Amino acid sequence: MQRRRRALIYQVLVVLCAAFAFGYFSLNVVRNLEATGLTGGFSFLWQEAGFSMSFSLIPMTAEATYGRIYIAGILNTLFVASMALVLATLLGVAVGLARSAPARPIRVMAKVYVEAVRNVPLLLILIFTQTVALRSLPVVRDALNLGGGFFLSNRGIYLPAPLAGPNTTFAAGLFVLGLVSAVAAYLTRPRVPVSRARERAPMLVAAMLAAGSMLAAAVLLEWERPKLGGFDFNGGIKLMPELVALLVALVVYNAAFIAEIVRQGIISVDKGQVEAARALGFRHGFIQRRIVLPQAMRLMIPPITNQYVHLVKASSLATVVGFPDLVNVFLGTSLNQTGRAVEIVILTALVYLTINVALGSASAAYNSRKGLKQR
Amino acid sequence: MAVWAIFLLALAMLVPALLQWAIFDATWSAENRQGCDPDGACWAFVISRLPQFAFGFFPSQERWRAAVALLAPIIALGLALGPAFRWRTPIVVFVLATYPVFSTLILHGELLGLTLVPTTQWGGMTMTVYVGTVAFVSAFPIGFLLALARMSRLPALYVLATVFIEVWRGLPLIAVLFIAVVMVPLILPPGTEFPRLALALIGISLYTSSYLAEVFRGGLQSIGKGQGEAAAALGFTFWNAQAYILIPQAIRAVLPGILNTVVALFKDTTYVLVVGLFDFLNIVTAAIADPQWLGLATEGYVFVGLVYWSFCFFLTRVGDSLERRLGEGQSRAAGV
Repeated sequence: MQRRRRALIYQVLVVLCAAFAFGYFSLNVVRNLEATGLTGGFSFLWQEAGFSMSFSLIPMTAEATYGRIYIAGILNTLFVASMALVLATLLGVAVGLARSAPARPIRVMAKVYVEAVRNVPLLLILIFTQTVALRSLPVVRDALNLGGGFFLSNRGIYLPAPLAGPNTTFAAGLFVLGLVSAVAAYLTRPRVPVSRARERAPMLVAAMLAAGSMLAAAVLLEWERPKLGGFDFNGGIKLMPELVALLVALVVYNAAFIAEIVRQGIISVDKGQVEAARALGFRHGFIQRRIVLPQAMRLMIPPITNQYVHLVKASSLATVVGFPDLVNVFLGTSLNQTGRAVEIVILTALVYLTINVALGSASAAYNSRKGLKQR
Repeated sequence: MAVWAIFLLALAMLVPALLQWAIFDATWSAENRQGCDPDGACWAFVISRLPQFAFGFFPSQERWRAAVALLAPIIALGLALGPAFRWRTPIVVFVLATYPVFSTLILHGELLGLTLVPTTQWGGMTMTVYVGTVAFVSAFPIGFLLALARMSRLPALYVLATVFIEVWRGLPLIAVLFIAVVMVPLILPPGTEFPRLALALIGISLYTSSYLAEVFRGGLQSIGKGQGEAAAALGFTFWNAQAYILIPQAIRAVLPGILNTVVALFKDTTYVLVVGLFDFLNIVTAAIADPQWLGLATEGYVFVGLVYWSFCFFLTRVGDSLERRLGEGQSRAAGV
């Protein structure tokens, strides 16, 4: 009885303290805002912002409202983060597998990469990429021609862009067909660890159909290649150096951590599994892909999710290099211009917290489906 | 075999070129950029700026004060990781616990009767170590209380702590710094003024405390439930059970996690550049823009990278070996 009463008193005290602090802070906010003559509320979202963004996935003009800037900022953050996430995962898994490769030089190189990158601040990698690595690329006039309309210069990366033309609809249809057959190939994959040619046939046919129709779509489409004219390339898609630097830094840095997670997942798999597979005559690649990785995956998913959250948060370093992500355009420029600190902080925090919760619940869902069943 | 050949060939081509640039063709002392051999690294730039990289814009006759603030945490860390002696733990804990107060007093100087050095003149490695240590030391108790509150069976404590931790952990540190700079003056009575450094410190401390809270929670949860119940059965009060039974066991389990947090914090202090502070990385960035030494970004950043790398690599290694040692102790105990 006494215990319960004491627990109650503790809680009431803590809640009172928190409420008092919150009230005191709010009161000061109100008084501070009164002093500057600002009123609260989210109506500023419909006001004209008067500035534009150097990169945006939705049409953007100087007449855009703060609300539009907010949406464009969120999209830019999601764009950079998801690109970096996919590339970092690919590189990270490759390096992680290389750390347990049979050839020793490969293991050594992978280890050197991980140890060199992990112990250096991400911001240093980012600034170095922007001010040293990208600047040392040739100027636009002598841009590196990678062939097929791809160019590399210190002003950014140039890619060919698809053009609207008579074949566009047909090409789009082929593209959809390619996507559908890729899904079909995945669904018809053989479910047994060792398959005969007959069991692999449906998957192979679907995969070939997917590759063929994608390729046909790419050939049918008219591509506008970037052309050198005046001081810059015209036409095509230009990836600005800020974006390239941010992507490179995020990928290089996070891949090292993902590689470490992959390696720890791999060594956690019972050695007997690998030995048994080797005794059955399976090759190294097959053992890694079909026996080790699926078992390691369970242990890898929670830490990799943490790393993804870290990556999404780190994408806000865009501010430093001048890429217009959410923090840069909204928490930075918009806040400076409007002074709506409370509203903008809440709106920004909501975005990041939502992303974190989404990643967290995806990981939890995977865990409950594929995780080790606790008996 | 082919892999070996390619590997050795690449090494044979890369290493000599690297050594040639970094050592054989390098210039170690020169007046300015023109005095440097253009084929090699110009370390003369780094060497001539070394005092600034270490102490920032601190007035040169007052540099001993910056040196005290810079070296105290490093020496404390060295003692903590070095061989044991009788008063080691109390000394290390005392130096670290009082560091935020005494380093601020000695750097600022006014209250001690020294020349006042405003926070705008602090910088370099001193700033990095100061920010990192002050944030860590102030985050430590907050993080511990948060961990206890989050593990508490009292719903009010649990909910408040969980929300606090998840919000601060979920935000990017860059956003936290922006928010601290804008919001802290807003929630204090009108007319209160703080230097930007203090605002940044508040932000980093809250951010770090939520990370430490999760590390502590992991450690406290790794102790068997029976320990706390046995302590309660023996009549220990909550705080006595924590102090004499649970924390001593938890500390061992959380040491690697704490070291990881320290490494992450040390790397993350570079973010203070977004609020205009000149930490180690940012002061080198500023020095690179010096017209006397233009175009030496590579040398500057390679130097910065080596310094961060050696510190973080060393600490990661210590963390790994601690983890292994504690793990051995654990398995031996289980075997008995």
